[in-house]
Amino acid sequence: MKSLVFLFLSSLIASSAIVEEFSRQPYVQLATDNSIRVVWRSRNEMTPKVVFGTTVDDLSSEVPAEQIITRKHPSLGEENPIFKDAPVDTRQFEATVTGLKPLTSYYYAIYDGDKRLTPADSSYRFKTNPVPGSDTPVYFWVVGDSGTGGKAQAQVHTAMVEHTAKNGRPIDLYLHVGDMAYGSGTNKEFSDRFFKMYEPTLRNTVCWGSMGNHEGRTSKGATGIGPFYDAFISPTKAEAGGLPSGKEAFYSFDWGKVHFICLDSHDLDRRPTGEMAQWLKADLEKTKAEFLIAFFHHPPYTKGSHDSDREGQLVEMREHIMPILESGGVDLVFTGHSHIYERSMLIDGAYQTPSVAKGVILDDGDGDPAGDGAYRKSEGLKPNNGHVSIVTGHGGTANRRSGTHPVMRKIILDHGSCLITIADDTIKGEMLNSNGVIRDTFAIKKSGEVTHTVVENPWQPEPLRRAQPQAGPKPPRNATVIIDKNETWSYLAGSHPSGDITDWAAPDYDISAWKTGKAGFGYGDNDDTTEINMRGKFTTVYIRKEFQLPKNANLDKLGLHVSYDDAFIAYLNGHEVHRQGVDKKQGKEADGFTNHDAKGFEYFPLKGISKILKPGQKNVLAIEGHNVNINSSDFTLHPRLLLAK
Amino acid sequence: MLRPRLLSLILIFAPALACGHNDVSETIKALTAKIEVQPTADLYYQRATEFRALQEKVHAIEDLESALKLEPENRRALVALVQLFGTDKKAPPLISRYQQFAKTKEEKFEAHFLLTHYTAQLGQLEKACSLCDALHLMRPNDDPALDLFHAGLLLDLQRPGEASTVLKKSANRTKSIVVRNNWIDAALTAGQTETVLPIIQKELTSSRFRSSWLIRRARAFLILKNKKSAQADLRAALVEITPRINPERPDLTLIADRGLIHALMGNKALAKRDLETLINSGYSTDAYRLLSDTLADN
Repeated sequence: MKSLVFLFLSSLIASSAIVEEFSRQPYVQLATDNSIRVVWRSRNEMTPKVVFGTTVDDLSSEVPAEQIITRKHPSLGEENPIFKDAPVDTRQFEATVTGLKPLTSYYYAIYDGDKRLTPADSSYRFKTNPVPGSDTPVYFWVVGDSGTGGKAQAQVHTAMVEHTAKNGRPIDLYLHVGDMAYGSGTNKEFSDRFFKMYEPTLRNTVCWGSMGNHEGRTSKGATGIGPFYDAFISPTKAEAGGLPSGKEAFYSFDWGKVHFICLDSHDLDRRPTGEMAQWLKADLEKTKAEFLIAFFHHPPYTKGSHDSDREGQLVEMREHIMPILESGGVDLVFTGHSHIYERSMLIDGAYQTPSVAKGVILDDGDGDPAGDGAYRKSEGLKPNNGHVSIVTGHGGTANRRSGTHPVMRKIILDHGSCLITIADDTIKGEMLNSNGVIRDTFAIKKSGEVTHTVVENPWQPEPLRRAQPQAGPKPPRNATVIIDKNETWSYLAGSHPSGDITDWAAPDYDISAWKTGKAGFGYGDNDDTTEINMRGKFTTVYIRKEFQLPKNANLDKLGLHVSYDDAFIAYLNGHEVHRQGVDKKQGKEADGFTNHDAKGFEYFPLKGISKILKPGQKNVLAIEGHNVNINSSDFTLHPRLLLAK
Repeated sequence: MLRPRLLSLILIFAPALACGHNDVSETIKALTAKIEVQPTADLYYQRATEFRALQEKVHAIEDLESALKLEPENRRALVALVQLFGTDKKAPPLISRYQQFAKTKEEKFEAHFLLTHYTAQLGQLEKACSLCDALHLMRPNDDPALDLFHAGLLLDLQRPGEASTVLKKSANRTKSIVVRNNWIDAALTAGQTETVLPIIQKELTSSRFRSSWLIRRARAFLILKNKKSAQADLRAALVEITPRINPERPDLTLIADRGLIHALMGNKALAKRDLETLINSGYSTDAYRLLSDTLADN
């Protein structure tokens, strides 16, 4: 156990030890029970060499030179080039390590001739798959829609690394259900938003990828050409089990007694007569695995940021592909696209449009062994015996819920990922959020012969309560406007003020370095005068403005009239006087935000402020505005200050 | 047991249905706002793909036409529009335009493919087959989808022997299991059993679900006039397939298989019922051609 923890810690430490010679750090792909690929990129000429061994100090085996291919830019006119959007001097090296023992850990190093490039570091390792069909527990990570390169994506990854380190159980493999490189899956976006982000994991754990619609802007499933297909080396000839698909866009592989199937829901024919569905049917007929996991990008069931009742790809995956998967005995289906976590009950036959719960729920419990109990299925792959569908599109980009899907048991708006264990006869699934908290647990126990009948009146999730406009106080009539719309403020965006957490709100705080601009401040909803380019970069904006009050002002009649999205804290002369949508703390430590759309100006009377204000003198109104999510589509902060008569 | 869908190849060139980062309707609103400020062909194309995701064909066509007004040689918009037009007479002028401005090998291939596909849609199968020959010459080692498409045309023309030849060659080249299975089906339709029976036997010993292979072996037995063995295989296939079919919402690929079992067993009424299920579900006619042909032969 101690050695495992050490390996994790060394992985974390090594994460910052980026090797300069690589333009894309080494990562592993296409593991089988006797081989694996080690892939890296460089913008230098090199004589590539890969050595490996079963102990970190004895890398005595070498990959034969003929098993290392070099792929270059198409302008250099060689066969099998990388995609044209990579820099012309890029070289992608792909080393096929063969002759390995099943389920064995190896360490590796990359050399340029005699010069060792990778450090002598135990994190440069890989583990081969077990022999297909063997009874070996598997633990894997599933992520979707993560590719922003932002804070939330990093937190989701870190949460997984810390969680698995704490439990002393590394993941065996990693599934990505697509949208790993926003916005168009270019070479640069892959490098910045996928490889850099997950580098400590990718160097020793195989990620099996399914193409999302964003990668589909530059990569094509039919041809297997594009940055996505350069990044991933996927089986086309049944190298890791299953049937040969002939295409990297869809494939299968075996890991012990689990059969994994990856489909392309984006740009291939999704109909049952299409090549992909024909291959799927044949592959399902062939497999003798005991567990079956499918993953692809577009969810057959969702009411998150996408609606599976309305959108063609989602409808087609449900109507055409799900019947084939269920008649083949699928256990779990992982998807993304919709930025939310949604986990179904045990369902079968839910192909209608629009989706309904009637006639399709086989077990309406929560599936939690500590709650209603695990779902039950027959052992082996019994057709139409129920499956659990999971939308895990919450890996890093802004989450959103548009409704309530009737087959879902858990609907959670929180960044996170899924960790799945399959051991003995049970699948256990957990949703780990970006703070390292398990937000959902379910299990499927497969033993004996289980015959389900449809639940007549199944449990149904709570409908989405749409945020009602607050019937708060109306702004006073005939109020004196102290600060009006579109007035000029000082503002700080992109960093936090120096000093203690609320120093910046004090009247004498030095704001000479701050910018000035007219309210409102924000982006994305066409209601901002001072546009702030903060999406994907930061979530907090600070604004300040001096004002004077009439000498005879009734100080209990002051109120804030503000248009905001999502949350703010207001200060008068350095004292907090109102917070809206922020649960705790301030500034960079603020936490617990509530979503709020700017729907015009809302009025908030300010109470108990008479001792704070100085009539006839300089006063300062300071406001910190917060966005719930760094990738939120908009942000607004536009205050007025009113004095009622 | 499915035959390749006639139109499968078109999706090679289908523009990515690139849904936005957010909800499709929101993306459409955002794109509309941008178009109102500064319309571009790309913005119209993007909005058209969103409309296509929502299956709003009329709006998608309007946007693609707007894109082509701004950029008459916008390849993506042109291809998408030809696809949406189907057999409409507005398609050929667009294809001609593409053929004129196509410069790269890929563009020339794509333009020629659009013409081939359009011709096939019109039912001019002989002509489409000839056009396919030209496509093969343009890209001799192309994706197996072209071979599946070509073989589909040949099967429509009742030339299974030629279809078998095309598919066998493709299967050897691509190692695609889908092409191989289609080759086996075409070979059986052509009455060729010798080369495919050993494969069928091997698959029967190694598959979890055997019904597809039992049906294929039964077809071979029928060619070899071994009706008893054929009936035994068909009965075994039916036993396996029945519990896999959800009675309320079946996997239609299994309905196609079951219909074929019934047809080969001589149970015409049951076979017709399955055929009607497929037709009423809007299932592609390619999927049940083998079934309907078998019923017609009986």
